[in-house]
Amino acid sequence: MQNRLAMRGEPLRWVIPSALALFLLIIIPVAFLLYVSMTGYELGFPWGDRTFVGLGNYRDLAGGSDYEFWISVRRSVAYALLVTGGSLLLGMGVALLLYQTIRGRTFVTLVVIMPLAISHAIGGLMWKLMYNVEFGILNYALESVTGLRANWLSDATALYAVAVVGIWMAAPFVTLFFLAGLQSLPQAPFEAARVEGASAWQVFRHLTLPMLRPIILVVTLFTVIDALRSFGAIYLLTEGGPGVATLVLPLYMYRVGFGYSSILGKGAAIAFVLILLTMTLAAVLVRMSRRPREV
Amino acid sequence: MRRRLLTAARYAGVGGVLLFFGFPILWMVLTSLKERIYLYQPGRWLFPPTLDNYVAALTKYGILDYVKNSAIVATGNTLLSLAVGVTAAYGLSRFAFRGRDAVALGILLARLFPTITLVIPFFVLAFLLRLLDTHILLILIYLTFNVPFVVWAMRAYFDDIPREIEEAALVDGCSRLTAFLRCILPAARPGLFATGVMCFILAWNEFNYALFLTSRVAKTVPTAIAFFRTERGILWGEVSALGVIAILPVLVIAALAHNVLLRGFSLEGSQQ
Repeated sequence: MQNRLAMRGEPLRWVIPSALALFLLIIIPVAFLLYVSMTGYELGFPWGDRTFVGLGNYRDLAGGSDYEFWISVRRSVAYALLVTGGSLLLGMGVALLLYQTIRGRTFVTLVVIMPLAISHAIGGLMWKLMYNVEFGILNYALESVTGLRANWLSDATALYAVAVVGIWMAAPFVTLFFLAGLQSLPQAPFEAARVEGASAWQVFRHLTLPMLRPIILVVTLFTVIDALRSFGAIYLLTEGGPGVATLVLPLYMYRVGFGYSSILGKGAAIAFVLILLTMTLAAVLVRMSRRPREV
Repeated sequence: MRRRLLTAARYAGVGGVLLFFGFPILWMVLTSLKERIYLYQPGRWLFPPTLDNYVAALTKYGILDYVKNSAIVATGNTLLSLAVGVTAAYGLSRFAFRGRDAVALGILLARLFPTITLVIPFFVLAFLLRLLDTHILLILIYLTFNVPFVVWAMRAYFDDIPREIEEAALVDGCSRLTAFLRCILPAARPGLFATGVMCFILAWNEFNYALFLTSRVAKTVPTAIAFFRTERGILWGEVSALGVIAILPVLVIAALAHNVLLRGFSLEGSQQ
């Protein structure tokens, strides 16, 4: 029926507006970004004054003359691993809980997805209120139990504190993904396991987990990619500090391009590194999510 | 006994989940209702609530203008995103063609793209085109994430509309475009509405572009937070009030049409 309706060339015509918009608003800016990354343009100067430096900015970044770059790469990797690990564990737990709980399930799901519906900056603000040393609720709770207060956003713990917020924002997405996965699993093996008297843990370990494997891989990459581009909440919480404690790549880009030095050209080089990193991971994701379909 | 323990553990789990995901929101709402003296008594749950922080935020700091900006940008972008994305969604739903997978892949990559990196080229381009700090700039740029969303979401809705509807129109001699405009779009009205609500939320919440590309005239609600950093420190009560204003549309939608949110974010999650 589809072929009878389709005319030659017609299908592509329907796609033109969207494709054109995304070409103009993503492909062109990326090409322009690549060009800016090869200049030494500084914010506030006339655009005509820019100098072409070729790969000079990239050489500076990789060559270690800019020691903060490799620190920020390490921070990004650490942040992405913490957020991904944390939200996968939490998301799996919440998904299993929601899958089993019938009463109030809609309400609980709604509360769980709220972080998705809230601006990252506002999410960062909420946690900043809770992390506050003097009147934050976390220190109030800690003090009433141990008599001590913690400086949550200090050098030693800031990355973890920021990662908790990252988990708060990423786990709902992971939960929805796993919940859909759980609901799509065939029931027969689980009934068989029940008849055989398998424990809940055995069922999870030897049935649920292996069957969810393809979904877990996809969610992992999705979450890593999403964590690598996190900006709003970290900007609100620490602005990459204290010092370089939470200086992940987007924050480093912000500091170099718009912050104290305002060398937009170099900021652009950092941005382009982030794009390359993301697209590499996305290529892996696409290859992986295709495999099960072809079988 | 064992079963009862399990049930108790499950309820504790649900309680923990509600606390972790919901409490930060509740805490901000509470903070926004506190007078300054109660701010420093975090353990005090009962206090006379005040709307002073809201009044201060709206009058003294001109948040009303930013609410207006956010509404203009989010509404304008939602309508434009629907207009631009809806035909592609229909094309993907109705035709099997070579390149369909490539189009779907492009949409996925657009969804995964680190948009924060485009702040720099957009900043320079907008500077050169004299578009910095304008509504239209944000309305256009927000297409980068909302068009992929519209294509994906509306495709699912179009899939649910029986083909007989437009076939009847085609037999009657309508062109496909006419059939689409006269028959399919009206039938997809609930889907358009739900998708539009989601677009509105995503545009309303956007922070990165608005932070770098607006300064005064077109500043949106989330980026106004920075205004509350004064020499005396952050004005916590006022900034919390601003935060509540920023999440108000979402809270209203959650209360009136929670299915839109549940389905919308599940869709956003299943983009592949």
